[in-house]
Amino acid sequence: VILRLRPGATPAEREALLRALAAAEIPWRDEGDLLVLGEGAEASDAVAWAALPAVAAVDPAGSPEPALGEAFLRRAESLCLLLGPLAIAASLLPGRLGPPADPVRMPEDPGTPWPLAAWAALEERAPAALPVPLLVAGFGLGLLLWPLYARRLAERRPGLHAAVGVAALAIGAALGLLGMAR
Amino acid sequence: VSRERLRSLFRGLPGLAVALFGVLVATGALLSLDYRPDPAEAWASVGRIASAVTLGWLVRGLHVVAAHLLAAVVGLHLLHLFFARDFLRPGGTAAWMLSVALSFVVLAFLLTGETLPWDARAYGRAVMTAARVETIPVLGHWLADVFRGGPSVGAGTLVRLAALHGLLLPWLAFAGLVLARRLDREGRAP
Repeated sequence: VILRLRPGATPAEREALLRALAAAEIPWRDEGDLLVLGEGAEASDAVAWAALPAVAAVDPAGSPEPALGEAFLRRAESLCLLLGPLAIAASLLPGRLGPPADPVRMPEDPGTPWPLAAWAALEERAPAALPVPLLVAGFGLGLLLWPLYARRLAERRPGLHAAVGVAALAIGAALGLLGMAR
Repeated sequence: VSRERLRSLFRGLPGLAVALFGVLVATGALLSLDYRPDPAEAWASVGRIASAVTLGWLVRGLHVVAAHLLAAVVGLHLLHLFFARDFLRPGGTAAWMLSVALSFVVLAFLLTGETLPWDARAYGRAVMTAARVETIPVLGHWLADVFRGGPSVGAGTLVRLAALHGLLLPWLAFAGLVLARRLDREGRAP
């Protein structure tokens, strides 16, 4: 069963639909404008699904699977679309290989890998009293466990939740740029 | 760009990440045919790949570009999950944690892969990265030892990093992607 969503459906209406599916223990796959329902969805329930505000139409038949040849061509097309720009970028970027490593002589400024640039900038500029490694570890752990302790914030004050994200992103980007510009 | 189109672009990021992972596995396998994870030979073998092996420069370039692009795609995906508050839906917490864990794996891929050419810059960065990681509370010493393959960056480090980069991390990433796919099939991942 495929649910075609109404283009103007509000996030609240979409969420109500997803909650209804979860309550009925029906798995689903989000395809943007469509929700493809898994096992447990009966065509006889189509009227009930169609009555929900977020649903524009119910298609019990579903879209036909593409033929094997067509599916292969689609994949090949996608791969070419990906590999083309990658190959152009790869040929434009210089494949830098400096002098061989010499454990006796450490290079003066080997630079910092860009994923660690923000960390390096924080180490350089933060006051000595600030425990930078603890901050970095705390950020990683906080990011991992974010949904466990920020659920209420995200549910009740989505604006503040977004502001926290924008602030963290801005600080991280600024520190990253500072770290890379060294 | 309409909001719906933007949303569908962001929804395509996991698929793009899987495709880039496929490119990395394929180019990584080709590179491993000529790369020698030995301090005496690593630098020369990378030079040979870049200059003497047929299309080696392209394979190496594709591997490097795809790796950095994958890191960017994973970062964008996390931003999408965060700002869309995706973790609020049923099963969204598991999808979020899996995405963050996969981003740590991608970070480990970048840090280990960057050292493999074993040139002066890679060596210097390995020393500094290990020193930086060592300062992390609780797990720092252990992580630094895993990274270095011993108390200091040396001959054992290259073998350790090559093993992590070419054997352990790809399987971790593969397991993560399979789990993400399973969550997706159950209608719980984005």
